[in-house]
Amino acid sequence: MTSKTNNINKELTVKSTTNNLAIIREFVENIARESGFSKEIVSKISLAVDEACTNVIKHAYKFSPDREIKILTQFNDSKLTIRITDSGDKFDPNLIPEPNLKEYHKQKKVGGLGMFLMKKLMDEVQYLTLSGNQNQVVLVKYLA
Amino acid sequence: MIIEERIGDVIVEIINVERASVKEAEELKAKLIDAIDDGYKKIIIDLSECDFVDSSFLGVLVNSLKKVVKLEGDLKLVGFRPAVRAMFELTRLFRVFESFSNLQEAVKSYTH
Repeated sequence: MTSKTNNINKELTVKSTTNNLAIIREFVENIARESGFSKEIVSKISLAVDEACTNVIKHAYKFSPDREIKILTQFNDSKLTIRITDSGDKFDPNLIPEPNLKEYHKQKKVGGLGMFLMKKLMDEVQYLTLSGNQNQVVLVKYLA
Repeated sequence: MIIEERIGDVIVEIINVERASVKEAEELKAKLIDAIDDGYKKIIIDLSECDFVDSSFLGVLVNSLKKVVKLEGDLKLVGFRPAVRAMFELTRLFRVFESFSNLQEAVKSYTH
């Protein structure tokens, strides 16, 4: 695990194991608290990051524990941006339909629930493909 | 860790961890596949030790419910703590499951 800090940016890199989710949550919760978010919003941000990293471990890395997840955070102008980067299988969010909750409950269909949660908990969610076969999910929360 | 109890034809899975996420989801999935193979279709999931459930765990609950309902069984939930209740409310999944405040009530609902 490596970690470095400057005034506005913080970075954490961990191996892709579920045991590291607690470290990721603590890292993000500290930043969200320092940025001035309420306890309730800190929990929401932490949950969204947890969901995003679980998706990386499960889908991008298919539970392979020796790959890397990099978390970059930036806070300025009342905007907290969290970038989660992996080099696993490419993720196309367009292939995951947004769950129609009405149908979801009627048919008890699963899939896309983690993405739905992230969108519900954060103000913005974006999926990017970077050079070098890297995937990045960008989560944004504004300090009201 | 998940502890399994069998009460007559009812099977109870006690989720004995504070955080039920991807690891516990896989464990529960395997246990329920075995239970259903053994002929159990009255299932209770006891969440009273849990402070948190993630979407992987919720996914296994929904999939398993779907499976047992097809077999004319049910999967009921027990012991929502506030943060877990909040997660079910956020995803509106509390409408999908029948839930009880304690295990006795849930078992009784299967026998009456």
